[in-house]
Amino acid sequence: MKKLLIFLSILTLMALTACGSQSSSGDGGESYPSKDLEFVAPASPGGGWDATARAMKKVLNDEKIVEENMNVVNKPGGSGEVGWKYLKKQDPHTLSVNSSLVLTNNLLGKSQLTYKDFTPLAILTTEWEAVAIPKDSSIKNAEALMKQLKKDPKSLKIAVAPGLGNDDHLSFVQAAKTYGVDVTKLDFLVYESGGDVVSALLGGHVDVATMSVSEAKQQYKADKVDILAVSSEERLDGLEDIPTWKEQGVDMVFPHWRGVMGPPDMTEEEIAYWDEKLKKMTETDAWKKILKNNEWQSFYKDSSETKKFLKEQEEMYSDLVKKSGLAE
Amino acid sequence: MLKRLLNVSLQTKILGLVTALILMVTVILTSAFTYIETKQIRNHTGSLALQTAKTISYMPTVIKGIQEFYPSRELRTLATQMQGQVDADFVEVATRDGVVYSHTSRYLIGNKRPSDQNYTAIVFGGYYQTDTEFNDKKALSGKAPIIGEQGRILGVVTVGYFYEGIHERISDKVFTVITFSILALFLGLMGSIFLARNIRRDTLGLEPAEIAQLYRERGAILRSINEGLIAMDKTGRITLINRSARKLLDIDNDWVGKQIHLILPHVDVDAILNGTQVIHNWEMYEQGRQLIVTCTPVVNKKEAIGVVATFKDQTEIREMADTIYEVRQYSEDLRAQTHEFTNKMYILSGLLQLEHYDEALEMIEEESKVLEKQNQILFHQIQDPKVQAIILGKISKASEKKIDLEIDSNSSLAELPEHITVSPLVTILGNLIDNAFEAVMDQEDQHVSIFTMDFGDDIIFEVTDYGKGISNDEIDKITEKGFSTKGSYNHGFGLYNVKQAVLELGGSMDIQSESGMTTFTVYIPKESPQEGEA
Repeated sequence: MKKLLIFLSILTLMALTACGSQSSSGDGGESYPSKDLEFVAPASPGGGWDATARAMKKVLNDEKIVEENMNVVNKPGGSGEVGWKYLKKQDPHTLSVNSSLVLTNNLLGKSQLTYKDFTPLAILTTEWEAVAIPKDSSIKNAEALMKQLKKDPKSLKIAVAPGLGNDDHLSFVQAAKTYGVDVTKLDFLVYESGGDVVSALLGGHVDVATMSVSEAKQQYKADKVDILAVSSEERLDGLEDIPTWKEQGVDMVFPHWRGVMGPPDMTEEEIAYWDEKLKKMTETDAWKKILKNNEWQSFYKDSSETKKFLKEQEEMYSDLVKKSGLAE
Repeated sequence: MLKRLLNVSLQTKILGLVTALILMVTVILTSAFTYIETKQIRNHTGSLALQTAKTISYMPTVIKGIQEFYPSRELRTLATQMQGQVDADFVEVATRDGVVYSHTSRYLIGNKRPSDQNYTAIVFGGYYQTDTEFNDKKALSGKAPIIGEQGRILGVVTVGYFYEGIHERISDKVFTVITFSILALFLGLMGSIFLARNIRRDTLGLEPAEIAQLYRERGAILRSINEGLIAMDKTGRITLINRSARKLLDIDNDWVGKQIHLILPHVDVDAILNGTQVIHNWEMYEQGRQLIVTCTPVVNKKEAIGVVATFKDQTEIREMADTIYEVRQYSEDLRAQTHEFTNKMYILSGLLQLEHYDEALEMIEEESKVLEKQNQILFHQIQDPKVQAIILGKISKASEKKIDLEIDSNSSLAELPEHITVSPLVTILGNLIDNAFEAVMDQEDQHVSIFTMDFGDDIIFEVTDYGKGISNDEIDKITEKGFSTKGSYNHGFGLYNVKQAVLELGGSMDIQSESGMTTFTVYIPKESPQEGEA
C-alpha cells in the first residue's frame, strides 16, 4: 500500500513537471516560430499548389511579415497523399498547401487521411471551374449542353485531366447532377495534363472539356475555344461575357479553393500566430497582385472559419460522390 | 445474506472467490478478444475484398474482356480463379451499365443488374467497401472500377464475402477462445481446490474461525494456569512467556524473541530436539528458585519445530509436602503420647486395684525420675523449642514402641538461628529418628540415641541406632530419591528429603555404619547460605 502511494505520488509529480514544461513552452508561444519554416507543396513545381506555396513564401518574406527563413519543399505523388503523409509527421514549423483533394481522396478510397488528421489554418484562394467547347461546336450554351446530356448522357465525350475525382471533374458532375443528368452514363476521357485536354478539344477528339478558369481563359483569349459557363457566384473579371451556371438554370457554385494546414495537434498559440500572419499577408498589395496574375480570387478564411468550411465541404463532396441522385 | 454467504468453510470460500475472479477475468478477456477479433476479421475481410477487386480490375484480360460484345469464357475463368484464391463468396464483373459479364452464379451472366452501389466507382473511379446483397444474403463487398484507355471507366468489379461466413469465422474464433477460457477456468478451479486443501492442511483442517477460537482459548489457558510456560522455536528463540512464567522468573515480555539459554541455561534446545536431552521433571536451580522443569518438543509431521518448557516452583511444592508430613507426624506423635499415657494409666490403675501401692508409688517415682532426667536434658540443655517439641514427640513414640530413646547427657543446643525453620527441622530430625526406630525394631535391645551440639560455627545433630547397620554399597544409594531399605511408599523419600533439606540449609550429612551401629551426623552452619553468599 505504501509503495503504491509512493508510486502514485511520483507519477503525479512527473505529470506536474510535464504540465509545467508544456505550459512553459505555451508561454513561450512568443518564441514560435523558433526555427526555419517549411512549406510543403504536395505536387511538382509549376502547378497551383506549388505556385501558392511560393507566393506565400515570397509575400511573407518580402513584406517582412515573418522574419524566419522559409523554404518550399515539393513532395509530389498520390494527388497530395505523399506530401500530406510527410506533413503528418512534422512539427508545427512545417505547413502544407491543400485543396479539396484532402477531402475527396479519402471519400474515393485513395487515401486514409482526412482533414481531421491535420490542423486547418486557412483557406487562401479560390479558382473557378469552366466548361470549354471547340469554337465550331454545335452546342451554343450550357443549358443546351445539359439538355443534350440529359437526353443522352453518352452522346458527348468529356475531357478531364489529370484524373477522375478532382475538382475539374467533380464540378462538371455536380452541374450535370444538379440539372438531372444520369451521371453514371457520362463519358469522361482522362488526359495527363491540361495541355492534352486542350489538344484533344482542338483536335476534335472530345466534345466538351472541364478545366479551371485560368486554363480555359488562355485558350479563350487566344480565340481557340469557347467557354460555356463558369462555376462562380458572379461573372468574372476579364470574362464578363461568360455566364455563370446559376444564370443558366443550374443552381450551383463550385469553388476550387486552396488553403494551408499544419501537422496535427498544433497549439492555440501557434494557430493564432498563423491567423494573424496569413490575414496580414492576404491584405498586402503584393499578394493581391499575385492573385490577379494567377487568375485566383481571394477566398480568405481564418482557422476557425476554415474548420467549419471544411466540414461543410466534406458533407457536400460526400453527397456528391456517394449518392447517385437517381433515386431522388 | 452476505454474512451467511461468507460464513462457509474455507474451501468453499476460496473456491468461490477464485472461481468468481477467474470467471470475471475470463469473461472480460473473452469479450475483449471477441470484440477485437470481430473488428479485425471484418476489417481484414473488407480490405481483402477491396484489394482483390482492385487486382482484378487492373488485369488486362478483364479490361479487354469487358469491352467485348459478349461476356467471354476467359473473363469468367479468370474471375473464378481469383475467387478461389481469396476464398471469396462471389465475384462480379459488370459493365458500367450493369450488364454482368462474369459472376459466380452463371445464370446471372448477361443479365442487367444496375446497382446504386456502383455509382462512386462508375462516376468517380472510386475504390471502396460497401454492403451488397446477393441471393438475399448480405455481403461485405469491395468495389473497384475497371479503367480503360483514356481513363474511361468501363465497368465495376465487385468481390464479396457473405456476412454469414464472416460471422461463422468469428464464432469459430470465439469458440476457440471459449474453449481455452474453459480450460483456464478448469485449471483455476483445480488450483483453488489445491490451494484450499493446502491451507487446510497447514491449519490442521481447522476453519479460520476455529483457529481464532483456539487462539483465544490458548490465551485464556495460558493466563489461568499456575505453571510457568515458555515456548520457543527450534533455534531456541523464545516465542511466548505466560504470566506465571514471568512471575516465577521475574522477567517481562521483552524476553520474547531472545534466546532461551539466557533464562534457563541448562535447557539445550538442540539436544531436546534430537532426543539426546530429555527433561522431565528436572529440578533446576534457576534465578534463585528451585524449579521442576519439563520440556516437551513440539512436533509437526515427525519434525520437531520447537520446544515448550513448563515449570513449577519446587519450593512451594516441598513446603506443601513438608507441611503435610509435619502435621501427620505431629498427630502421630500425639497419638503415641496419648496411647503411652493411657497404658501407664492402665498399669497404675491395675496396681492400685490390686492394692500394690508400693509398686504403684515406685512406678510413679521412676517415671517421674526418667521424665525428670529427660526433661533435665531436654529443657535445660536443649533450649530450642522447635527441637524440644520434635524430640518430645519422638520420645512418646519411642516409649510406645518400647524403644529406649536416649538423649545424650552431653547434648546442648542454644536457640537456633531464625533461618532454620520448623519445616526442615521436622524433615531432618523426624526422618532420622524415625529411620533409627525402624532400624532397631527387630533388635532385642532397641536403643537409639540422640546427640545435639552447637559449639563453633555448626549445629550438629547426631542420631545413632544400634541396629544391624548398613553396608557400604547401600550408603551411597541411601540418599537417592526413591531408595529405601524399607518397603513402604513414603519412606523412599525420607533420606533424600533429609539430604535436600540439609543442602538447602547449606549443611552436610555424614553416615557412618558398622555392624550393630549406624550414626547419621548432620552439620548445619549457623549462618544462612543466602546471607553467606551475600
